[in-house]
Amino acid sequence: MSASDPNAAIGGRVYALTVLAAIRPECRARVRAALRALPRRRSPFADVEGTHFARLVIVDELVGRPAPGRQFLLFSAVFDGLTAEDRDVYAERVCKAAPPVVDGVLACCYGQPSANDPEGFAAWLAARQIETLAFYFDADATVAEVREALALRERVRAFARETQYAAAPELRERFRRAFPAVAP
Amino acid sequence: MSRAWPSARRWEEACPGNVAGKARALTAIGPMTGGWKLWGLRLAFWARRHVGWFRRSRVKKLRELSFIYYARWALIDGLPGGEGGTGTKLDPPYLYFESNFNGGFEEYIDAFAYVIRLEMKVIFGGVRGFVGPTPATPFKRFIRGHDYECEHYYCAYPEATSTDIAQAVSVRDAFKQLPRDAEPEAFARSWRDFLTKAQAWL
Repeated sequence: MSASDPNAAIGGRVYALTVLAAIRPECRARVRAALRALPRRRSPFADVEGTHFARLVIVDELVGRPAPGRQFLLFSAVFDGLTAEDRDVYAERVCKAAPPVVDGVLACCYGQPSANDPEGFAAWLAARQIETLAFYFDADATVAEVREALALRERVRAFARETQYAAAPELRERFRRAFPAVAP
Repeated sequence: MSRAWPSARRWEEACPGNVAGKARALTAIGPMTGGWKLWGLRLAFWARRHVGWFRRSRVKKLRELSFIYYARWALIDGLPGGEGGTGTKLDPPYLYFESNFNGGFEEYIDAFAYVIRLEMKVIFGGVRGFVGPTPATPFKRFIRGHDYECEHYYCAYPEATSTDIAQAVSVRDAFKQLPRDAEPEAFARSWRDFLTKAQAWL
């Protein structure tokens, strides 16, 4: 339930995943190269169903502390979900749809299982998850709903322009033809 | 402060990794001072979670700003060790703040500084070196000094602002009410009413 999992938005249907993992020293150079090799125009996360936002950040120093001599990888995502079970399902989807992230980037971290082990990957994420204190969302909608709503708005806008002088019978007929599936 | 002083260039130009279409990623991590300010922050977040009217009052102002898709706050109590778990305890902890927003960084922080000043004081007041939300220029420098550039950033709808999304959802909800099986005249009236209601969202 949304109220019981602090990472889920209260009153919404999205989950905030924040993971901080230590990068293996021998991978320091490789991790940045692997991250930059991820296509930006066609991100691997585009294939992970339900992902609203995702980011990967290298944390190599912290304000107020001497350089730790280690690097950390921050992985965060906002995805459709409410519970830890949804998070585990999401981890499996990442394994399936975004192997360059799992085997290319996150593989640079200690203990990270390969994309062939989705259950192990889900447990790995869970062990390194940082609990959310507060999570704000603007619109309560899944990724699919957002895309559908944006597309519908475009169609309605065009339809309104095209039919501004249509008489009532024509307007209704054209409406039925233009919106056969989405109209109630 | 161990991190390099923020670049004089505009945030978006200095950190292109934080940009995905119209969406912007802010990732800030800063050390808390501990003491009563840390407990005040914990209490404020507890209230935000468990006290409905308090949460609604906080959320209302952010929704009115209408340029944040999602934002989150967390406390980092430790740095992970080699094999998982806490390798290095952070006491006091570090505040983690992440935002997905649209528009310019300057305008974003200006709005934070001047519209939700009290909230900014509560949230960032316990971070070491916090200079206060106003004037906004030192506050922006403070945020930039704690900000990390994304190596990879993804947004599922990069061409839409958060306002676009809220409006599109409103259009959809109103559209669902149209009586497609009504007689032509009744339908035309409903359509005109719908357009009157939805014109600001289109």
